[in-house]
Amino acid sequence: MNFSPRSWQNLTVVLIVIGVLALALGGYLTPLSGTVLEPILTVQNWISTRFIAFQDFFNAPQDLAILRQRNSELEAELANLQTEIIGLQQQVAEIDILSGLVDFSRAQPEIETKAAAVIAVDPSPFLKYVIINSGSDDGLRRGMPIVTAQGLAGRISAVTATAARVQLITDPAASINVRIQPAEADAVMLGSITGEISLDLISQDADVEPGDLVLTSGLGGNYPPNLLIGQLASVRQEATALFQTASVQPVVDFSRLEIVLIIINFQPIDIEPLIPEDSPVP
Amino acid sequence: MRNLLGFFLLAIALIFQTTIIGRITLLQGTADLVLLVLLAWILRERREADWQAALIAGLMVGLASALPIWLPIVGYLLIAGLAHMFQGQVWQVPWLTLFTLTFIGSIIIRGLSLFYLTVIGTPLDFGEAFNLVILPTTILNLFLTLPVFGLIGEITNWFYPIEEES
Repeated sequence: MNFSPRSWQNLTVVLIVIGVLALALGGYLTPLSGTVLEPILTVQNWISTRFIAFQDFFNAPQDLAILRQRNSELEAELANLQTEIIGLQQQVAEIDILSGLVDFSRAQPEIETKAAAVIAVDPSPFLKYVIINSGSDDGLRRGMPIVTAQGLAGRISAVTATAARVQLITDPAASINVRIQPAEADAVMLGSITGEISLDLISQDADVEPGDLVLTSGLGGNYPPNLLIGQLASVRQEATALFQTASVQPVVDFSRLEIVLIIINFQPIDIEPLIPEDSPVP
Repeated sequence: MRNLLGFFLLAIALIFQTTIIGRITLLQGTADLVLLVLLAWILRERREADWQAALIAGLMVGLASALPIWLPIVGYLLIAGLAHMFQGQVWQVPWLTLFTLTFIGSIIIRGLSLFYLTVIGTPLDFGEAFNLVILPTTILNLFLTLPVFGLIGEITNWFYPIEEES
């Protein structure tokens, strides 16, 4: 074999490369490669960072447009979801009201009820009347009491075929015979122009105090007995007065009256012919 | 046809009054949208048939309210009469006429209701009724009178643009 000097050079290079590779694969060159590569990596990192910044600078408008478009899409989607949430919340609120009304009906099986929605309020702010979407076609009659799941709301004052007008217990002209529990004291509940309700004609001997329950007494025949109206908020007793008076916190939220129950198996009794002319009984 | 448009606007006003406006209260007062639409209609149209619109407005409110049907009719006819009178006197200053009529009309409508309820024995305190209902109602009406006047003008112009120009 005749090796030329050129061949020896090539062979030497190959052996060196193989040796270096063997050393590298064996991990003997790691400290050396770290030392050598560090400045390279630093420079590489510096250039790469600048290049990406440079690239971002020129690509930014396009990305911004895409981001804005995506943002608009997401905002639209958010608006849809919010609308959906509001709709679902309304449904939940309605279901809550209806389940409350169902509970009320189940708790008092002797009372036959029919549900109706409040569709309008009286145009006059002096009067506390609402209009419901059921009328004589649904079996409603004048004088039928109206309740919610919480308690008494009013009674029907006028009926058409498809709607009825309800006088709320907060109406200034409303007056209802009530009983205060547990004192077993009778009183008369009065509405007012402010929508607040108060009690009058409470006997001075009656031991009533804030927190006592106010229920219909059934006297007068206009309302069935034992329908909850509210709780006494305060009691006023004056030594010189004939009767005590009290303010009542109603259990029904009249500002959010949406669905009501009409007690259809109660017929009001007209006792007016039996009342003497000068009697103060409401 | 113009009368039909007026009646339609009054009916829409009553629907809004009983469903939305009636629930928005300032103290215990609520704006009277029917009154505002009636006044805007009368002052825009300046026609002899004002009393017809007033009659229809009164009839509709009377049917919707627990008040006796004649009470709003009388109230709105009185206001139509006043508007007719004012148009002949100071209509050259329309804003002044509008605000004056709104102020007087609010007091007439609510005052008549208060008078009637007092007469039939409803226990109402006059001071309380004035402070909590009549005054807030008047303020709300004065606040809404310009937007309603503008809106009614736009609607009438939209329906009858040629007649308005002539």
